[in-house]
Amino acid sequence: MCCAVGSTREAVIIDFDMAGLSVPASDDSVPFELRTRRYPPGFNVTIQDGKRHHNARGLCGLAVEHDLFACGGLFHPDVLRLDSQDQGHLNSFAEARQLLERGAALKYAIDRLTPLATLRVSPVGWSEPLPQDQNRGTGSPLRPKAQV
Amino acid sequence: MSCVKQTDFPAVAALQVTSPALEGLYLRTPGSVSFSWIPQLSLLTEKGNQPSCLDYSLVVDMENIMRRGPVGYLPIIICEGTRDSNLGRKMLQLRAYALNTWAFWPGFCSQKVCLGVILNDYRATVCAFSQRGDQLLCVSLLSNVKIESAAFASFWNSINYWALLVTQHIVSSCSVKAVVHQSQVVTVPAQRPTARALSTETSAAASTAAVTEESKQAANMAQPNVAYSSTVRVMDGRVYKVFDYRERSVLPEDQRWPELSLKHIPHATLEYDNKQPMHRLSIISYPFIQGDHVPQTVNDVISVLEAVNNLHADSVIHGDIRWMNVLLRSPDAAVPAPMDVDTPEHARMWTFL
Repeated sequence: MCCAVGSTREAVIIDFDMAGLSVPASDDSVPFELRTRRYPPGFNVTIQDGKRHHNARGLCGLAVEHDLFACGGLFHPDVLRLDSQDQGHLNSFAEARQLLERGAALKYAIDRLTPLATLRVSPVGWSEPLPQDQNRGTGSPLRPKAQV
Repeated sequence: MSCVKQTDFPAVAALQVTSPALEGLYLRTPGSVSFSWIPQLSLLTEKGNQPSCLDYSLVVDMENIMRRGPVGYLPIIICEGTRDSNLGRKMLQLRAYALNTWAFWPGFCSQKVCLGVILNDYRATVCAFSQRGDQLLCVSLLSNVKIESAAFASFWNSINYWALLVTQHIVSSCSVKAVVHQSQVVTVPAQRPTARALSTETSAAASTAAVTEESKQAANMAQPNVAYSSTVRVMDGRVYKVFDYRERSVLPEDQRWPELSLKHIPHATLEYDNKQPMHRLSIISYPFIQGDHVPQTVNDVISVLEAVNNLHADSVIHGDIRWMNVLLRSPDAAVPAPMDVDTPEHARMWTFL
């Protein structure tokens, strides 16, 4: 279970369908499929509730930096707005994202965000549930049938 | 089963969702057996008509079975649309679906009969499947006939009869009370399909019998923030998720794998696994409770980052971090609330097995 400690709400990460293990490809102790995971051919790179790393594309291999970039994408200006007019707050919010986009460790971004913890945020252009045609985020490998 | 009326066969152009002929077979009474037709795709007819749906599946919604069975509805008639002129592959797929149906509900399918329908560019191919012992029996009822032909019209008439027939089998075998609403119309065919005895065409692929569910979602189901996908279903407080790679050419490394879900989603269990890497079929389940995907404060963002940090500490790369894959919940919730939103569609009932 992946929950933050001490937060008002706990975050549970779900949907590990595409998840893999960041172990050397030569590590025979891990099933081959879990150490050579790739994004599926239909992987949707354009989503409204996050951002994808530019190398997170169909048939490309998973990487930790893609996760980090996606974490930054959770509070990208196109995805999430900080409800504050304080320029210092806005700068810290942006810096935390930029750190993740550059592949910095999550703890550095958390350090930047912690002073802002109680500030409110609002989704930008998405809500729950996402419209049907905008929520095909992961994209299963297509079935080989040609539907009209 | 007394409200059976003779009606005219509807013209192919009228085969739309709104067609009374289709709606007429939708029977639903609480606690009863019910049928519904599921629209899948549009297919132009030769005359330029475009029915809003021609790839149907007839599902039998048996609420009692739903409570007892691990995954939802029981399909009896399976239709597939394709533009591939090689129908052999489609027929194999339908055959596998039939086998799976019987394998999954052996106690409820005392008469193992299933219809497979392939719609292919104005033409239809229909087979009936049955199982006797270890053998799968298959008989061709229609072979590549025009869907506007009298032969197909006759078959179309017969579908309702098949539905009735299978319902009776199910009712007699599991003591579920079938109620036909007064306003419903069930068409009786001119020639019953059972007049064509099922000949023996043994399936060499019978070993693929397994369990599956392929779901489309019902938007009006009880859990409002669950996005139902083609592989996910929520039932009895649990989320059932299917990983079905049979009849699909997907390398193992490109498939979705349930292993890490089982490890990292609390209380997740493996319901079924056929252990065939190239044609894998797995079903997992995990508890469902309400939650929220939308962050309210920066604290929610921090919570996600910490959760991902914990995953990375375990050498796990998630690969699909987005708000819809995050569930924010109150810390006092008794059970974690895993959900799935892979390819949600909100408007349609799910369909064939």
